[in-house]
Amino acid sequence: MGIKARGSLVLLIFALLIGSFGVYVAAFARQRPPSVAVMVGADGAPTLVLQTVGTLGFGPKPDWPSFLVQRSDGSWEQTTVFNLPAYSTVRVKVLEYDTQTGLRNNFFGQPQGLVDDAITVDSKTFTGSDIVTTFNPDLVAHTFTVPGLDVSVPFVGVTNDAPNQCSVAPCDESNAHRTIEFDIKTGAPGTFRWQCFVPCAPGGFLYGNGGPMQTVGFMDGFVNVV
Amino acid sequence: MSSDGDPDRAEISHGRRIFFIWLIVAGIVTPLVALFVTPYLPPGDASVQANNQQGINAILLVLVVPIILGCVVYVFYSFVLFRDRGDGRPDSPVLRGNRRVTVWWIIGTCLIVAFVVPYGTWQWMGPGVGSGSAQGPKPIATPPGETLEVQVIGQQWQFTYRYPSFGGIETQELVIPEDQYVELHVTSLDVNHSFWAVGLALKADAVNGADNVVFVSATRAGEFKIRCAELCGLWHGEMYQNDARVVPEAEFQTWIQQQTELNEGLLAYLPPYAHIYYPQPFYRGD
Repeated sequence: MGIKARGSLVLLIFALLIGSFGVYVAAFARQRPPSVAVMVGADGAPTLVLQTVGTLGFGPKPDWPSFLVQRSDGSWEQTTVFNLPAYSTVRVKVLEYDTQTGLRNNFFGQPQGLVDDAITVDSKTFTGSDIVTTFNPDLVAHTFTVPGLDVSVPFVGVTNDAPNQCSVAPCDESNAHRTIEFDIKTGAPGTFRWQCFVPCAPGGFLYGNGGPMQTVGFMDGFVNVV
Repeated sequence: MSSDGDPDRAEISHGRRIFFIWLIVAGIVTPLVALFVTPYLPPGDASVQANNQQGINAILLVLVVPIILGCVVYVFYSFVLFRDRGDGRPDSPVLRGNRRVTVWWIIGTCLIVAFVVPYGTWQWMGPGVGSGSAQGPKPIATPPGETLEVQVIGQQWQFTYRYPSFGGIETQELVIPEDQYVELHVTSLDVNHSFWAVGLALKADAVNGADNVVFVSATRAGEFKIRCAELCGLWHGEMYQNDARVVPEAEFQTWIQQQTELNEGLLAYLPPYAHIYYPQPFYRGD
């Protein structure tokens, strides 16, 4: 093989390697959990139904906590990307199956940005200053915090010794859980990131968020207001 | 090379010519830059510190313009007079060593540094009160009179603020009064962040277990932007606030009153105000 042919072959292999790497990076960058649209409630109101679990129980990270969203057919999707209608009041129902971890900053134990400052936990409704006096930040399992919408809601977890805890998602309501309900208002269309402010990953992560706490699809995501 | 056959004389002539051209150009351009460009230099004049930095930037620009013009004049002069005209003349001989140029270069550089260092130090210690830079837990450039203490808490991925003068309440947005010195104590609850109030020309690292003090006096009411300037994880790029506010004193009092009411129940759960915080062990991962 002549020197020109060898040179061309090396260049071709090099180009193929670079191209393959580029395709891999592009595919990785475009990877995102599926987005789920809110359901329509019995009274026609848009309703977002979530569940939080302490251990997902399947997939490559079975020991990670995660959020799941209910589709309109009643099935559960492990995702953290939701589509909410613009300029609407959206009902949010959270089935909280995880245990209490506690907040790194107790400030996020205060619900903020809710319609009428009202939140219902296990059928008990709290309003106004009730909220802040009620939620002990040490008992919080997760938060749903959307800085762009000025919304932050702590979810009180089930007690560590609660019977019949769920270890594989999706959990059903026979498992130990708390039911948290509140309404939020959306404004103009846009994409807003959200996150959980509890250091909820296995292993502690006291001094920084790791694992599920910085992985979209588990404890971070996007609210698409459309 | 000389066209009259006397290289030494020609060299002196070119040098003088370049010097006089530079003198004229610098004499015209430098005042124009000082008059029409320096007022628009960043970071503006929204705070005493921003104004101070702008003044320092203006001095540095006015110092550097003649130097840049000297280089530009020299290069253009050479392009015009010594370009290859295609007449086959060889390159000039390589010149090595010129004591006079070396000495003047060293003297000039030393004079500039001898001016800039004490001037900058005086500005930092005096009128700039730290010039918007953080000074650690025991600041040495401090403002006269009383200050309003506000704590900046960095956490993945949001800044929150505590006001110890008002019971240690915590808020999501930063609001400060105008024409009053604010003493910001910057810390972090987790990884390293950097609190950057862009328009106010403040930047201070937020480090877990460290108290980093920076002073600011905002000169006019309005909104300003806050950014995290230290790569801190997945949502680093989202760790910002575009509507932090400087407000008149009366408006500040109204706002702080509202926040105090909002904090009424929360205060019981907030840790006592301190300059640093360490997360307590939690249930998971103990």
